[in-house]
Amino acid sequence: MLVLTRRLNESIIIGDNIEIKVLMVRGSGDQAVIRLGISAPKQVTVLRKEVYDEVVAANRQAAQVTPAIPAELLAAAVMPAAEEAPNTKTQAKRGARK
Amino acid sequence: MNETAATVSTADANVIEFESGLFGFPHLKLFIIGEVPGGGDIFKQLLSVEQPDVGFTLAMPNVFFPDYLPAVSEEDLKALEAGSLDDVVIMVIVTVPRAVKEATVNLRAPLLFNPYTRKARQVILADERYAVRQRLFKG
Repeated sequence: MLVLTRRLNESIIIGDNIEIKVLMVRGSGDQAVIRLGISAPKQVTVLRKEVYDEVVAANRQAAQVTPAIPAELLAAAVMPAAEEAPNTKTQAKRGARK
Repeated sequence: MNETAATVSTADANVIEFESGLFGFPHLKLFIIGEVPGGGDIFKQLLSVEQPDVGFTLAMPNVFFPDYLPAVSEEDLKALEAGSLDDVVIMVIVTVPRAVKEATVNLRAPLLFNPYTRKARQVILADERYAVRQRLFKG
C-alpha cells in the first residue's frame, strides 16, 4: 500500500483521471473525521469499503450449487411475505420480463 | 485446466458473460442459467462454467419486493450494450442457509442481465435503503 500524507485541500491523483481531495478535517486522534471529494469517470465505481466487503462476503456465502430450492422458499414466491404494499403497476411490468 | 471451459465460449448461445466477474469472484466471467425444479420464472441458478462448484441461486426481486426499483446508470446500460432499461432483466442473489426462514436476498448488489447480448454485470447500488442481506421472511 502506498502511504501518503495530505493536508486539508490537498489531493491525490490516481492514473490519469481519478482525483481524491481532502475537503474537511475535524476532530483528532480516534475521533478524527475527514471528508473526501472524489472525481472519477462515471464508469469507475467508488464505494465505502465496508459495503464492498459486505457484498463480497454475501456473494461468497451464497456461492454454492444448490440442487433444489427448499419448498418453503418456493411457497413464499407464490404468497410472498412482502414488507411493502403491493404495487400492481410495477409488478405487472417486471413480471412480463423474461 | 477445466475441460468444460476449453469447449465453451461466449459464442455458445447459452453462455452469459460477466465482463467484470462478480464481486469476490472477479476471475469468473462465464456462466449459464440453470432451471430450478418448481422455480418457474422466479428462481434460477447461475452456474459458473469455469469453476463448477460455484453457483448462485437467483430470484426475481419484485415477486417478494414489488416496489424494488434499483437505479441503473447509463454506464451500466453501456456495459450491457442495452438501449434502455426495458432491455435489462434484474435478478438478485439468494442466500439460503440451513434454516430456510433465515433466507436473504442481496437487494444492494443486484445482477443486471441483457438477454439480447447475453452480457451481465453485478452492481452495488448507492441506495442505502436496500440491504445486502434482506430477509425474505419476517423474523
